[in-house]
Amino acid sequence: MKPLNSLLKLKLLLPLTLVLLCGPAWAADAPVLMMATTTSTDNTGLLDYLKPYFEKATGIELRWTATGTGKALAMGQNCDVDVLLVHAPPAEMKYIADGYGQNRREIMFNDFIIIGPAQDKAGIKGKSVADALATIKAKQAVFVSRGDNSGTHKKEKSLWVAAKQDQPEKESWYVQTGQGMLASINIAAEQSGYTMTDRGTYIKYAHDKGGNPPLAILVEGDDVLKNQYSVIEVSPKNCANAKADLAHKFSEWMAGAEAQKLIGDFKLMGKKLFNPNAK
Amino acid sequence: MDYIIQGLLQAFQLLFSGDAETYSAVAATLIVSSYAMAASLLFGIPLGFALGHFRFPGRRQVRLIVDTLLSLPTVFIGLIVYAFISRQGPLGQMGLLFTLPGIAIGQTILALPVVIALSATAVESMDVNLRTTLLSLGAGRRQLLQSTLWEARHAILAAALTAYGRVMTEVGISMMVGGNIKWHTRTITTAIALETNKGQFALGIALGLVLLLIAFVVNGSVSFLRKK
Amino acid sequence: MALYQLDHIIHCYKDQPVLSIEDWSATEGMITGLCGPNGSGKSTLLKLLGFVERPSRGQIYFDGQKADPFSQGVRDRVTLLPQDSYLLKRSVYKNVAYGLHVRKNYTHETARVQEALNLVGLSADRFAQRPWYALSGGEARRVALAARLVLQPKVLLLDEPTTSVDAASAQLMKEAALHAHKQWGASLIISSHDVRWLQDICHDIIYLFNGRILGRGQRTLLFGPWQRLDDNRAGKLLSNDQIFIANKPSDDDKAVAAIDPARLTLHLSDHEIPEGSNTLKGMLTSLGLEKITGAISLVVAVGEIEFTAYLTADTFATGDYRPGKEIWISYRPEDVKWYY
Repeated sequence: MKPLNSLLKLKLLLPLTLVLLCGPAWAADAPVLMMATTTSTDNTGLLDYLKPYFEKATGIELRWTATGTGKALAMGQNCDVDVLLVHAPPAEMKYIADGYGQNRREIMFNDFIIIGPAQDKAGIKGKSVADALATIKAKQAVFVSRGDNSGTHKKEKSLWVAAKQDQPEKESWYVQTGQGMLASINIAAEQSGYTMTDRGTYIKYAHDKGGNPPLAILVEGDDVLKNQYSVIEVSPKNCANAKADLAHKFSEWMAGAEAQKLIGDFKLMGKKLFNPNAK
Repeated sequence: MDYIIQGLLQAFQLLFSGDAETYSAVAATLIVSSYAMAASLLFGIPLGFALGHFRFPGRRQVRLIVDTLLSLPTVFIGLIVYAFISRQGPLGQMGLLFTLPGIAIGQTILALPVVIALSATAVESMDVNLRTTLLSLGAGRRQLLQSTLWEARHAILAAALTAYGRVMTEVGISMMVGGNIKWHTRTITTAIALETNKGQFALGIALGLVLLLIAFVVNGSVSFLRKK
Repeated sequence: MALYQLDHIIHCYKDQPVLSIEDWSATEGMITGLCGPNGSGKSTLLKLLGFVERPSRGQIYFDGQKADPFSQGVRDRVTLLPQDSYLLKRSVYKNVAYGLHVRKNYTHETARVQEALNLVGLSADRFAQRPWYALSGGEARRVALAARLVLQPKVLLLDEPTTSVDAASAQLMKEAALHAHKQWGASLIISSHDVRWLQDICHDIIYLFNGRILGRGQRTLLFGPWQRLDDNRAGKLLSNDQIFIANKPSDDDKAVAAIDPARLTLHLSDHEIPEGSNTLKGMLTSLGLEKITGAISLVVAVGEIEFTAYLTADTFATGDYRPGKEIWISYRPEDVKWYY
């Protein structure tokens, strides 16, 4: 009993002491670039995949906090981050016009899809986005919305407008989760409802479910479903202490050949998640 | 149900394989909660003692405020602290946002009312004969305070443990102020929130069990100390 | 010079006066007993004398100096064993040594603690390292006393030291208190319901009732209800058809009558009752000796009520005062004091 005990203790303590000995993490020497991004780039693992290449290429340590596009933009406005990687073009344009950001650079895109239970009781499979939304509304099928002012939520709201439908709000079939994409997909699955998601997150979700997800892709390929990701540097005119040079290097690197190839090669379950499209 | 069993297995796997991400989150949790506890005990015990020991005008009102602050929601604290230490905020120049000390500030605000209220109660509920006894044995003013504090040590320890429990398990402040940055400010609770968001329920449960294990070790050592 | 001099002391708890003493003094080197029913103010008086509380009004002089809690020179010389002694949450040794540590007096600490424990009949070997919770009631009380004795105080105030402890513990504590008096001349002020013990050792016994000092010696108290007999007299029927009659100024039913033993006269037959006195027939139930003064106390039971009177040894020797004998007590109605 005793040797086992001490062995366990050792195994427990060793990594812990190592981590503690490494000292407080915020005291690292490398220049640190702070980014606010959306949950989709983080949850899919894309950033974890790119981070070491970026650091090797530039010697800059990349840190990010993953949140909705709405909060990410607010963090940039409050000068809490140096750079943004977001996906809500109209909001981004306004943000730059307001003087909070600069040098918006398109990096990559994936597309949004509408998913729902494989049985598809409302019968939206293969329809256009406008028809699908009209059908869901007419049949009062459960539709899960992020409801968190994120890029995805903004996109979804724009689709209701494009479909010439009143934006649902309090309707009982319209569920606003206020949570991240994967959490919202899970909620849709629990309620046998429909939802709109970016493809990347869906692939990740399908992967987590062992390739046999309860929710299937029902609507895809419509032009309005394109999901453009861009890097925006926080404007040093608004934020004197923003690390504009580091932000610019990140923007350059992301648009550069190495990163673009890496993004194109990033696969989950053999499926490509993002399409690089930097100009 | 699968999640729970998977989670249990994964918890052991994470701990005994020395999984670096897990230990980084454990370290962040321990560092942050240690700072927060040190600060809240340093300020909270004297304040709680004063509140419980001395009779002064307005004491009941102060007590009411402290008791009300026990209900401070963690996300609200997170929001307030964020507003203060955001670079646009009054303390923005200190660069505390997205750092462990930043989280510790929020958690100190969370723990302080707990420590103050419970140590005040501990001192208030001391035996009425304690004061008489200490004075009759010749204690001066300072010794009276010291000895009363020492007599209340068990109840104050319980207060500290309660506060520690709140600090270790909160997620709102860590998420809001720390930003859940991997390798830096990702604590066990924000990691659980993230894994849940990502649909990795088993991993979330595993991390939860790790947190419980830490709490068990802390409480175990305290109960060992208590016997002394 | 008086050890204590109390000057117009009034003490209140939550605006309720609980003790009121116009003028009282205690002499150095004496043993003073405090007796009186529960709630009469004995504990309060001891707390004031122990400088644990500050009187609401009035001034206490100690050794001729104005003294207050935390006064220099008071803390080191006076110590009180409160009625509900509290043991610190530490070992027996640390409890006893606490007062020495407070005084930064570390010389021969171990030996002194051992000696103090021995004085109260606790062997240091067996008890010193015990935690506070592993003691019986009597042991805890003795440890508390040892914690006072180790200081060799000039004044030792004991509040009901022997109440609710076993007979053996009580005996050990009595001996230890007396040891302090004899060994280093400690003045003792002791409150106790053990009248016999007080009579045995005290130079002076004062009787308290309703927060006031009624005077020297045991008092006999009679509680209402009272029957109005005529304009200025009231009576109480004692159980064997005798009536206790006294001059009573008001109709307050809660009034308590007290008789100073010095105002009671004893008679072996009913022939010698003086003019103007009231007489009650009772039975002599017990005798006691006040060792210090040499006076002999006699308790006479009239129905349920026990009257205490004193005789000098000389007077006592002239008569046949055997317990069990019928005896008459007489008093003047105007000598009965009323308390409301």
